Amino acid sequence: MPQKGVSVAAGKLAPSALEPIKALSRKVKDPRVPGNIGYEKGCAKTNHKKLSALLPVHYKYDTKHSVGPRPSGELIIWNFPPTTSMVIIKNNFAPFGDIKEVRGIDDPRTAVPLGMCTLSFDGDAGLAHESALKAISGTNGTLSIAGTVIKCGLNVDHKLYNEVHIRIVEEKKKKELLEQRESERRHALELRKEKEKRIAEARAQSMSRRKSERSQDNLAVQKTPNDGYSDDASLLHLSVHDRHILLYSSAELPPGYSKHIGNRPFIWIPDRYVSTRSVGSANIRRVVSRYNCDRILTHRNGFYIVFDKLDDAQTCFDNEDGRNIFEYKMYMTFYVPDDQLSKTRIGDKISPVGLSKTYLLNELKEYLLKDLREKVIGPKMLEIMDSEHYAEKMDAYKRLQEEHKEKEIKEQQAKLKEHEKIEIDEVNKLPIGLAPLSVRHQSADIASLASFRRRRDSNGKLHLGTKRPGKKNVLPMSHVLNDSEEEHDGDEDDEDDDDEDEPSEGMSSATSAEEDKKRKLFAQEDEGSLKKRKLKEDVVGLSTSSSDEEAKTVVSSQPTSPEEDEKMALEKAKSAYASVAERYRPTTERPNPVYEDNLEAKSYDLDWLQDVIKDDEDFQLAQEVSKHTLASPTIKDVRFWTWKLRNDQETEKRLQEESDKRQTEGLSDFLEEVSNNKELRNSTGCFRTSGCRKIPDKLKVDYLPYRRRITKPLTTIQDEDDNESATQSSGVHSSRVNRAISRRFAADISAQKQMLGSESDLLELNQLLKRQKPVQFARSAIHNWGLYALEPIAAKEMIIEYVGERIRQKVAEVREKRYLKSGIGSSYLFRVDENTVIDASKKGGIARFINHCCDPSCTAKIIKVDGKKRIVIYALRDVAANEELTYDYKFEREDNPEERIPCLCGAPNCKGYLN
Amino acid sequence: MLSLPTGPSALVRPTRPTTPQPTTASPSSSKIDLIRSFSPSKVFKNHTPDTPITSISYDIAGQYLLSSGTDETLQLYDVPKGRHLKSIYSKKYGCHLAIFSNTSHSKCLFASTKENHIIRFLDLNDNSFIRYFKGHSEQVTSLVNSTSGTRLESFYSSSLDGTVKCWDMRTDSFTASLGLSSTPLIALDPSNSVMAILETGSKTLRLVSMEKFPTGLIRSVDLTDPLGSTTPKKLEFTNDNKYIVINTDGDHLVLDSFSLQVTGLLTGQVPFTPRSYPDSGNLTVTPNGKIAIAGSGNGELLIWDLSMVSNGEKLTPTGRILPKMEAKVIPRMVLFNPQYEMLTTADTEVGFWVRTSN
Repeated sequence: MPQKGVSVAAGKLAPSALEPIKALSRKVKDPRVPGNIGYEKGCAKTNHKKLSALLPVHYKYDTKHSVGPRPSGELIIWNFPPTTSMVIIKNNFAPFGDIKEVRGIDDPRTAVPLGMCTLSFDGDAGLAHESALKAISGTNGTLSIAGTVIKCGLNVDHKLYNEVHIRIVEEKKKKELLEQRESERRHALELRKEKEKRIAEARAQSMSRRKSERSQDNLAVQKTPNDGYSDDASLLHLSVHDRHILLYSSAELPPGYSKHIGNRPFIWIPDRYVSTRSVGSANIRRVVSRYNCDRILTHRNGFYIVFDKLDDAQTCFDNEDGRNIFEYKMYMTFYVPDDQLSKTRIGDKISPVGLSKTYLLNELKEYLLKDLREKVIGPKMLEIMDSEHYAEKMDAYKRLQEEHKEKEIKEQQAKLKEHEKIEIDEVNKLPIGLAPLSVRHQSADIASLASFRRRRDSNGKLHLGTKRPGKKNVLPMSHVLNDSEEEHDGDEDDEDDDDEDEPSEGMSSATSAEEDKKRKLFAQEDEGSLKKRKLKEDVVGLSTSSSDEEAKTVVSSQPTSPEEDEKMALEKAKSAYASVAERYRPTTERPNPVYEDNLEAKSYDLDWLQDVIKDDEDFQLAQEVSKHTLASPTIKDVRFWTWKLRNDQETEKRLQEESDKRQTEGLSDFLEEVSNNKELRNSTGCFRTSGCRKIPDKLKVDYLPYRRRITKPLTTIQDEDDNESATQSSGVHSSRVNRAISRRFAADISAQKQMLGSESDLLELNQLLKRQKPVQFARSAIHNWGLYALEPIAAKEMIIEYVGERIRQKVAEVREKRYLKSGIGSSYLFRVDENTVIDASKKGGIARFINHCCDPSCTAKIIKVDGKKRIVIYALRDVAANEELTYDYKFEREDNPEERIPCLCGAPNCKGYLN
Repeated sequence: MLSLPTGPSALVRPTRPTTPQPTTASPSSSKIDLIRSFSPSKVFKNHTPDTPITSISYDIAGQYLLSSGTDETLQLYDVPKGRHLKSIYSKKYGCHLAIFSNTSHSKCLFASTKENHIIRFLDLNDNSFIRYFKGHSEQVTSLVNSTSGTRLESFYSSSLDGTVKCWDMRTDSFTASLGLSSTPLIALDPSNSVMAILETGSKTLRLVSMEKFPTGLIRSVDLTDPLGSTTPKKLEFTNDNKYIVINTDGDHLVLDSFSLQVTGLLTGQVPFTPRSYPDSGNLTVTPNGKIAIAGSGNGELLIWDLSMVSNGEKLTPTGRILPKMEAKVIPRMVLFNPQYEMLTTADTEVGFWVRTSN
């Protein structure tokens, strides 16, 4: 059935060219068979697929393209004990993915952990979700933490969180309610029981008091050893420095290094202290070379300095540990071969035998002390304090005291008589008026002064003496001699007593002695607690004020008449002593304090207290002051307490000192340099506030490490193996030998050339190149770059040729201008003669990096090689390896000061300018 | 629906989970459910924002997707990985109806929209043209690959100039051409033995034997009545070779692929907001040829069970996928992947839909 306008065209041919075929003209049979799809081979067949045969697709969540709710990466974990640390949970879930946060959930009312936490995984949402799913399948109902099997689930939209949270809180509430009821019931029961108990206790109390005291004592003793063993280091009393001496076997050596080190002592400088990348082993070698180190191994862990001898290693370790090297500090760790440990300083301490010895000794000490306290001191003290024997003892003591006193008085009288005799004799011998006046003020001979006091005692006439009276019945001199009232410091108390005692001195001596005794006993009993009290008060700062108050009251109560009397007496005494040498006369001025009172201290500790309380008098004062303060109940044994306190202080101090020592060394160098330099100093005191500014090169020389001018050449070139280069150092040939060698070589070549008879360029020899020494450029202290010798060079040796473009003078001028214009500041034009200049700016050898120096190590010579003038650098003197090569530029003198180039060569004879 | 044995016997004799037997009530309800569980998972906005996309197509293995847009770019996507791979610019010639070559997924064919109407053969790897297929004088309306394994290099095109042309990728010129009075749409049956040509002007559907291409007419039918005022957009054989589906902007037509009798009308589509650019059709049939899925103007995806069509009756959608609030994609073009359990929609952005488990 032909259609209108339907035509057929085929191929490139125009439709008209072909005979038109009627399209769709033929009726054909359907080639398909109904029911049978009749696929051809290939792609179409695969297209008919059951839905179940389709491949599943699951997309990972990505924030850019994914739509829909963000998959949750948060887990809720519950059903674990509330005491469980979040770290434990984190560690348990760590295998499933990176954990961002673990947050324990607390009870909102009581802030007590609920035993529930949220755990969120890190990474993008898809990844976190995946790891969360993994974690759930891996742990839910299987993982147990602290004995209970935990539960966990994915927290989507906070749903699970709310669910679990509410459940747990409600459970807890129920539990609490039950507990509360239970406890109420229990409480009522207990109350009843307690009543009964109290009655029973009251009876038993009096009986058991003594026992309990003892047991307390024991408790204190038992506690002590634990404190002692808490720290090994403190037990060994090793300094920080010594603690870095370790056993060889404990060292973690990089693989293969143990072969090099052998069983020898070595020092390890870890990389974190001294960077192996920026500090070469040569630098380390320089530092430790005087200790006969065998070799230095470099690893990225750090440097390993190996020694043959233990002594060398040890001295090196002692001297160089913590030393500065460039901007680093060399902190060393010293490893000693196990068998040589005993030879080291700390060998005894650190070796197993030594360790155990110290442990044993310490333990023994503790037990000895304990035994002493318990078996000797304890019973004795109890006996002393027993109130039953008190009367007896007092009597005995009184008797003893009296006897003693009588004896003393007798002795003194006898002595004084003798003394007087001698004195009078001596005075008579001396020419009148020659006695030195200053002697009295020096008060060097306190004993001699005391003798006056004694004399007064015996005579009952005079009241003279030192500031500190030894006995109660002696009046202090201050009381007698003072003209003004404010001058008493610590003596008021005594004065007070003395004022009362004075009138009845003679008759009441016995009673006062008794009182003294009582006091002493009291003091003995309360010795410990007193100290504590005193300490407490001092810390508050009460002691000074209270004593001042006392002073005032005492002073105001002093009668004025006795003072006048005393003055009169003084006058009398003076006249009476006119015959006596001035030296032995009583002082008329107010007493000088024997010790400076140091009431203000940095810390009110035991040491200070002991320092302040100089004598019995001070002690009594202290007692008085602290009369009303109570002993702290926490302190069981005072002596132990004080010992411990002091011990702690000491160790603290020691550690502090050590750390200070280590710290101060580091920064000081740099700071000194900066502060010494005026131009580096800042008006505001802070560099940040002053904004940006250029620091001239001249100043940089002062502090930049690679610009630091030191006597030894700076190793700017890192050698791979310093050991090898060191062995080569001896192989310096003299220039003559070298030349001979090269001449021979040249002769060989020319002979070959003749034999070949060709004009080939192959054997063209650059003689200068042959003679060139190994050099390399690196950053220089003088100017940007410099040339350095890689190995030692003998004097007069050729080093390198100054290679560059050979240009005419005219061209050189044009080029120089062009270079300046294009910003090439450094000029590498070298004039050979009037017409020729060698330009190494763009095409040139490394000789152009050689810097100028006013004290040069090399010189530039123009020599003719094959008829051409060439610039060659020769060594002027022996040049060491790694030394910078310099020659004198010999610039023409410039008159215009602006055009002059400052010289930074740093040589002692530096002219200051290049031109 | 599925009654598992209960009681002690279930414990004693564990039953293997069997595939649900189709019941008389709904023969493939489980399959419908499967399709209904699809939801957009990824949205790619690689085309210039708010520029219409005119065609989407998969490669033969369903691994890659190629979309062409009025921003004159081709976008290449990796389907199983859900990633955008590459943008290919065709600024000079424009692009429409980009399809992968049957021989290689790194080569594609597309019709130019500017300057001339040459079909271009492009290497996606180095972005170079391999060949130009000159012949059409007007815009190409459909471009289909051969479904035959033995004629992989063949492809067929129809154009607004009223011609259907056969091409071989190895030669520049067409191998056969069929002139018609109005714009044709073409489709190939899965066995590659019959081509269906729908003349949009006269609304005549013809089946032509591929063996005797320009001349061998098998059958023709006038579709003026069933089509009514709707304009057909796409013609498609189902993979089981049972039906020809005509995608229109109103009710979609389902015809018997042999007798060309209208077997059903797929209703329910809400018209899209009109736009001045063509598209590659919003109706797709699953690879098993049992379920038709079409996008609707209100954002829904309508699902019809093709086994339920009979006697040219209207068929309301068996299922719908309601538009998701959080992922609004307009299904102006819908295409089910031939190998993977996913489908792609496109309007101004490309959306990948996959099955989501709740």
